[in-house]
Amino acid sequence: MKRLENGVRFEIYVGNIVDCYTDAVVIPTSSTLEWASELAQELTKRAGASTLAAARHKAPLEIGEAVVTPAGGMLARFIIHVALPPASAIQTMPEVERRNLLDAAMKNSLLRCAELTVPSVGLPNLGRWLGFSTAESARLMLAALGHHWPDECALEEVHLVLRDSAETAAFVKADNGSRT
Amino acid sequence: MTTGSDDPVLAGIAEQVEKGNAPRTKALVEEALAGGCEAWDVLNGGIMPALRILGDGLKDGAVSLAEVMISVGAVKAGLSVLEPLLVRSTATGRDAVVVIGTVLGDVHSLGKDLVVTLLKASGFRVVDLGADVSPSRFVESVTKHQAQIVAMSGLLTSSRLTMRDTIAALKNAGLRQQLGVVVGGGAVDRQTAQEMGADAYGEDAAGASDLILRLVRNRSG
Repeated sequence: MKRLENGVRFEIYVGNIVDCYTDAVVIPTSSTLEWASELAQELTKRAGASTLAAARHKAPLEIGEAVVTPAGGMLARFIIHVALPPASAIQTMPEVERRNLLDAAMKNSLLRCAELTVPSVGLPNLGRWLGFSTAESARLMLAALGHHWPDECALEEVHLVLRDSAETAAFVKADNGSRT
Repeated sequence: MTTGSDDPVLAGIAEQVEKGNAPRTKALVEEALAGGCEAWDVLNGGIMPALRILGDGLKDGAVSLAEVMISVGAVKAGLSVLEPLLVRSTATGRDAVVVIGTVLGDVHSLGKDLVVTLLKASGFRVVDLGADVSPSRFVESVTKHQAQIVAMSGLLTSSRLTMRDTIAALKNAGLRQQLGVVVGGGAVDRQTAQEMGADAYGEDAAGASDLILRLVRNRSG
């Protein structure tokens, strides 16, 4: 367990974001509130089809924007759906644009947490969805957590949910680097 | 959508608050202001009607607590745009200090949080003590901040007793005469508020700002 500069507890886990046991979880989606096929299956299983159908009523979203829905049968209470571009668009997108998008996605996800006054949130590796290497994603996401922390925010815990030990090692290294 | 505003943008704000869409609510609030709407009109014509509907829905069981929390998030997104403008146009009495909290033994703070947001947006100086607040903490805070109003919230029936104890503690500390005391939340109604010696009963969050303003003005004569 570590703490961010503002004293907030920061945990890194290996697992699946849909199983994250926090008040809110951030889930990447598209501007039309459609999820990547594997994620859609897991969400349908955990949150329920009706939860996802209700979420789609909030479409369309601007890319980088985030909306909240109840989390249905998931362990979390809320899903923060953050809109990212489709993989095909990311491949041709300039790096600076992807950085800005990651920044906006992090900022808007944290804003939704502040508005909900939730004490804990689970984040996936959003940088990976935007085509960044694990090391670069770690650096950018940790920086965004510092830059975009809302003024009035009840968050006491941020859980970063990563896919495997390689991702974890990269984030731990980036986190240590940011403190030296 | 049943809020019934004639202005399509205000009606849209109400709809997005009900749906709990924070970015869309914020965008429409900006659009309303850019179109010449006054901040108070946006608050009263767009946001408040939706809150009343949600409050009724929660009472009837038609809306879940999670949905209300999401809608409150959308309200906060809208208020982040409105707040600076509302504070600039405050009327006399809105600069009063309000100490607010959910009483000891009760951790239900959604309604209280919403009242805090709306009071701040209305220009009041709000000291939010959070949830599970003891009578002595209310007394300390009133003294420290020289508050004019104490607002207590609670959902549990047992909170009525704690509210009564808090009023007694304020009285024992010699603070009661100078204070307006408001109680609200599911634990109380108008009659119990009166019985416990409160000055006013807050029926819903949407009306809290006007209620407290009336209380401040009445007390300042």
